[in-house]
Parts: sequence; structure tokens; C-alpha cells
Amino acid sequence: MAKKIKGPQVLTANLLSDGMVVFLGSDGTWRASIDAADMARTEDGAAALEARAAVFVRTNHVVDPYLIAVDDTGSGFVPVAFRERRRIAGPSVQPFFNTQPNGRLAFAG
Amino acid sequence: MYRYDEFDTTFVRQRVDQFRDQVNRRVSGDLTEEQFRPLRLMNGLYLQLHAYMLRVAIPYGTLNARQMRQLAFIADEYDKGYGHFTTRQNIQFNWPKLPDVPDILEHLADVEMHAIQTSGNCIRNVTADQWAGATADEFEDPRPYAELMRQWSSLHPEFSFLPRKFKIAVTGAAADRAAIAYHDIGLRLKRNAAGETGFEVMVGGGMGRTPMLGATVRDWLQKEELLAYLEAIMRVYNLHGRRDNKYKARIKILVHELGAEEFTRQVEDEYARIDAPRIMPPPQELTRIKTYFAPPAYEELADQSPELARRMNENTDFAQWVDRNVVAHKQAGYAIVNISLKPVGGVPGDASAAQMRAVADLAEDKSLDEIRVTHEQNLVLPHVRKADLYEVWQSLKAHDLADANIGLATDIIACPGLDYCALATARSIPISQDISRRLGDITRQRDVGDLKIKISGCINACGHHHAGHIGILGLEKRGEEYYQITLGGSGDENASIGEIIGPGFSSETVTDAVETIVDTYVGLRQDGETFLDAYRRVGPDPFKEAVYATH
Amino acid sequence: MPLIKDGQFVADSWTVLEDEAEIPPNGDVIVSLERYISEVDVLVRRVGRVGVALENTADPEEIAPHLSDIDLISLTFPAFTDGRAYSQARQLRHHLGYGGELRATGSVLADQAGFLTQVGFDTFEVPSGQSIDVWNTASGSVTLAYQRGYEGSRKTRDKLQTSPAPQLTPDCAAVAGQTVPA
Repeated sequence: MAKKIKGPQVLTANLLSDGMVVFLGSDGTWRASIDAADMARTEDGAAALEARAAVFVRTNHVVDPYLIAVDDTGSGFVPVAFRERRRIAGPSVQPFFNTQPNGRLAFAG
Repeated sequence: MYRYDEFDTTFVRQRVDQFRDQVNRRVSGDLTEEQFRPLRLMNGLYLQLHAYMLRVAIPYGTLNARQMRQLAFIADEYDKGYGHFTTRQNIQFNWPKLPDVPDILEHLADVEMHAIQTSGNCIRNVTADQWAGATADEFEDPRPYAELMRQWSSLHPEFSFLPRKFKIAVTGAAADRAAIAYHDIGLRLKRNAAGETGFEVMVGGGMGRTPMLGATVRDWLQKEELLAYLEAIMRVYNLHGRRDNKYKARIKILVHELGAEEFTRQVEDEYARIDAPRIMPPPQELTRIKTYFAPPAYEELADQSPELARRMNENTDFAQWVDRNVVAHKQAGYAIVNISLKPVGGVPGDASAAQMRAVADLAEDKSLDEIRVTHEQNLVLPHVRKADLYEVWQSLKAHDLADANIGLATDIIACPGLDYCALATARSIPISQDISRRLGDITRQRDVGDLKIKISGCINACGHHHAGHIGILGLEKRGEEYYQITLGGSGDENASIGEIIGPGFSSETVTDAVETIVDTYVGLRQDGETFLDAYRRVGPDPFKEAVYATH
Repeated sequence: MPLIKDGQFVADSWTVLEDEAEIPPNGDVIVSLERYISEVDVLVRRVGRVGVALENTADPEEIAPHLSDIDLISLTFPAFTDGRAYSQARQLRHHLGYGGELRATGSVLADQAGFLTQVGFDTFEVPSGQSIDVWNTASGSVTLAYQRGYEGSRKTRDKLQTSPAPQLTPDCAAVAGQTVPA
């Protein structure tokens, strides 16, 4: 049964090999940029994202996949939850360690 | 300091091989993430917010130059050129890759180090007074017992899957610099009327969402009985500690729910049944360990150094640094040097690989090859000749390590917070940087005097905010970070838990609030009264009034 | 469930008896502690051995009076991270002198095997699909133990050390990088 969702969702996980934050892309690959993520607007769509991610868990490519709610700004996605915005922004104290290409866009802080 | 013999070396190498096998099985899929998680945690490997994090054990905060250089090598080779010293006297690397971790562990084993049990629901790295063996106020050096416990707790067959993590601290001095009252087990070496030393055993202290100070379950324990008695405590906890709720699983909750008296009775019952001689190390084993902690090769020196006096007269910056960062050594002519990892506006506890190498060089040349890590996230050169202090200071200055702020307002403890940590609810480092810049003027800091500001980025309290004279807890509400302030906490021999003063502050206003609190203290203090003394005299009201009137 | 003993799969002669099930006249049966205590007279008079399954919240003391009549005790791990049964095993072996078979059931992972042996378990019920090679590699990867007074084949320092403890002078203790002779 599909989970209740609140607004548009994208699916995130960490790569098993280096722990990097990734998003399930529309082309079926895992992308570093949240803007390249496949977005679901329905519960069935979100469940389909989870089902696709589960395959990559079984093949030991990613760990801890989960859905996050995003705002679709038209030019990209911004996570609703503060923690998720921080998660893609990288450490604010050492910005040069930022691993995410769009960190600044995603976190206006 | 302790050196591995063949036994220790083989043990650590086997553990590395075992972990390599576990990593291989994880990558191949023989282990699921659910199965692997507890196994990797027991080797200090977390999956954090942005990457893996490897926490390396620095047993009771003791290092030599070779070990520090190896940490610098790992920082350069496998990380981004820096490491983070923690409140448990360990070091964390923030960017290792999973397949590299077994190699990193090999490099650590090469210098007699490991990451065993730096995480997980097991007995964690045993911590101790960072000045152990050097300080003038010591009854007995706690390090041999810390080492004994390090060995005993490593891959303990019975106590590796406890209800929750378990932290032990030990001190042998009158002044408590190890915050023993805030540990699951706190041990204090003390002296009785007959002049013998023994342990006072405290159980059930801790921070987290329910901060508690430990209760004394044994006022006097013969030193030889230590491991057997610990086994009794651990068994009662392993069998009866709560496993239904992670937030109630620490031993402090068991002690609290049973009452200290009943808990003590259960421990003593269990202890009475234990075949202690089978558990206890033979006397020659303690002698073997103690041999490694014999005093290093001090020179016979006059206690006063004319060279030091002259330099202090000539150079105010140096004199201020000596005043704050250098403390008395038990050996004539020597001093303990505290190296601040808290530059104004910096990240508390972070050190670059270059800084680590600089400290290693200094340790080798000027401190009988010893370095200590403090739970306040600073470093120590424990055995420096007074006549060398000026030269040491100059070297430290060249590497931005000469801040003269030990124990002052900018010597802030901060956990990694939401800049790194997957559990955090708010950032702590930027707040500490902001406060540090605000209060950073050294004249002002010296005027304010002893002040411990401690910041945690979530309720787990890794930044020890409950023990801060000013404690700050970062939380999140509706997408905004906010910060709760507590006052009056202390982790020393007169430990106390800080009290919340009222509603929290935004990230923009929390520094103002802290400054108001500091100014309020300056306004009401009596002669020679520290912040904590003043708070204990007047209570929270004047501070609350000042803070909430203006913010 | 496959059963491992001494590093190999072995046949399991024991049947776990539900509390409602009839007690068979012969064969080896494992019953709950409650059933054992309430039906001890029937159980000890039949042909076949009797084992008792203890919940991991049970106090081993409850079974102390019957230990000489019991040939197997099984202790359970609801999750491999729930370590209560390690201490129960230790109490059975050490405080109560239990010498019969001690069986680990539930979530039993190869990586725990060394610890389980050290606290006195001797048989292990493992998930089907468990490879014996993986089991033996994982359980044998550490051959040393710091803890004195535990069971199993891991060697403590006292057993490994043949040469006397090193004689360090204070001077040599402080020298960097020096390898201390074992």
C-alpha cells in the first residue's frame, strides 16, 4: 500500500562506497544533484520510486533510501525539511568541502 | 606511555583483518546494511550527513609524535587535510571512503592505534585526566588503570551488545578534569587515612536528554578488584538495563529507576558470586603495565627559570599565554603546556595535518615525546622544560596554535552539529564561531575570566552543554534553528547540571543573549568571583531579567 | 534450522515442544521454563533427554535446582544486538556450574560466534543458507582475548606469553618509536 505523501517527493540515499548523498534520477541512475532527481507527485509515483531504489539496495549500491518532500521552484528542487537542506548544502563552516553542486541554491543560509 | 607488545600487536592486526573481511562481505552483499551497521559502528565507522566518518581511539587521550604524524598522514591521504579532536579525547575523520577504511586501520595499527569500540553499544574509549602523570595535584597516576580497562573492554565477549553505549572515565587527582560524575562509570583514585590509594566508584552519570550525576556505589574499592567489580556492574546493566526505549537505555535510567541503594545491592550480590581471582589480572600484569608509565627521563633542573622570567617581562603576549595555557608540573623545572585548538572564529577541535605535524615535532623535541588530547578539545604537551617555553610558544604561534585562551570565553566546546552529524537538529559550530568573534578580544576575555561555554547541536549533548557554565542546545522548530540556554552547569569535582533559563533564541540572537549574560556577570561579580561562583551566589534571576528584557 | 557445533553442521536430535503440544513418550525435547517447572515429574520420568528454553528476561537462578536433570539449555537472541543471553550464559556456566549443552538460538550471526563461545555456548542454531566457511572465518579471525576467566579457545596474555614481562627502565619508556620486547 502506498504511503501518504505531502507534496512532491524525490528519493534520496547514500552511496555505499563513499557515503555520498545521491538522488534517484529520472534516467535510472543516482545523481549528486537534487535537480536531476526524478520527482513523484502521487502516492503511487512515490511508491514506484521506493521500489526502484530497493533494487539498488539489494545490489549494494546505495544504503538508507528514503523519500523527501521538496518544493518545485521551476528551476530546481528545494527540500522542505531543514535537515535535508543542510544535508545537501555540505558543512557551512568549510564551504570548500561542499560536495553538492547546487548547495547554495538549496540553502539560503 | 604504553607500548604494544606482541600480544597487543597481533590482537589489533587480527581486528583489522576481521573488519576487512566484514567490509568485503558488505560490499559483496553477504552482509546486509542492517547486519553491517552494528559491526561497522563497533569499529568507529559512522555514516554521517554527507559521508562516512571514522572515529579513531586515542586511549585516555595519550599520543606520541609518531602517532600524531600518522594521524596527519591519514588526514592528508584519506580525508581533506584535517581532523577533529572530540570531547572523548578521540579524533574523527570526516570524509573516508568505505573501501579505504581497512587500509586506514592498517596505518593506525602500524603506530599502535585502532578504532575499536569508538562507537556502538559497547564500552567506549576510556577517558582520563589529560594531565595524568604530570600534574602536581595527583594521588596516583590513573593511566595504568585506564590502560587495564582499555584492554579488558576490547572485544569483551559478554559486554559488546549492551542496551546502549557505555563510557568510563578515571581520575587520580583532587581536581576533576575528566568529568567523572557525568559518566556511566566514574572512577576516582583517592587516599585513605592509612595512606593507601583505592577507587571511589560512581555509576549512572550522563548527559543526553536526561542529564544525571553519578551516584557513589562504592566509596572504597581495592585497586586490584577493579575489573571484577566492573564486571558485576556491567552484568547487572546488561541483564536489566532497558532495551525497549533507546532514550531510557543508559545505565543512569536503571540506577534512577531502581534507586542507587537497590542498584548497589544488586551489584554487590553479583559481585559476591563472581570468582574474582579468575577475572583479575595477576599482580605482575599490573606491574607490567605500570612500568610503561614510569616517569619519563626528566632532567634535574632548578624549578625557577631565569630565561622564562626574562621573556615574560619582555613580551606581554607570551606572558599572557603562560598565564592561561601553562600549568604547574610535579617535576621541578617543568611545566604542562596546553595548546588551544580554539582560535577566534575557528572550528573548535579541528586541526590541520600541518598543525598535527607541528605539534608532533614539538612533542618530540620539547615534551619527551608525549601529547595529550583533552575532553575540552585542546591538546597538551605534558612535559616541557620551563626554559623551553618561549621557543615552544614561538613555534606554536607560527602554526596559529598559540591562542592564550585556555579556560576563557572562547575556549568553547562544540559538537560537529548539523554541519556533519546525522543526528543533529541544529548547527553548533557557526554559533561557537560567532560567540568566539564577539567575545574574542583578549583583554575582555581575560577580564571576564574562567568561563566554560559548551554547545550541543542536539539533545544527545555531545557538546556537554549540561556541564557548561553557559550551555547552549541547538534545536529545530518549523525549519528554523533555535538555541536553548542553560546556566550553572559544571563538570568538575563540584559537578552540577545547568538549568534552562527560558525560551530559546534564534541563530541571529543567541550570541547577543550570551553577551548579555557575560556582561551581567561582569556587572554583579564581587572581588575575584568567577562566573560560576557568581551564578551560584545570585542564581538565575538577574541573568534572566537582563536577557529577556532586551531580547 | 541448521545447527553448528565445533565448526561444522551437525544433526539436531532435539525437538522444540510448544507448551500446548503433547509430551512424546521418547526423544529429546526442549520445553519452556514454565512447562518444565509445572510438569517436571512427567518430564524426568520419560525416555529421552530434556532441555529447557529460557527467555532472555528469565533469571537463570529459577532453573538452578533442576540443573542436574537438564541436558540442554537454549538461550535466545531476539536480535543479535540484544546481548542479555551472553550474561545469562555466563551466570549458568560460572555461578551455577551448568555443564550441559548451551545452545544459542534466534538471531545468531557468524560475527558473534567468537563471543558466544567465550561465554560458554557450544551449539548454534543459524539461519538456513549460512555458509560454514564464512562462519569459521568470522569466528576464528580473532584468536586472542584480553579478558581472563572466559571460555573458548581464544588465548589470554598469560597463556600466550612465554617470556617474562619486559623490564623497562624509566629512560627507555620515554624513547620514541622504540619497540618493547615482548
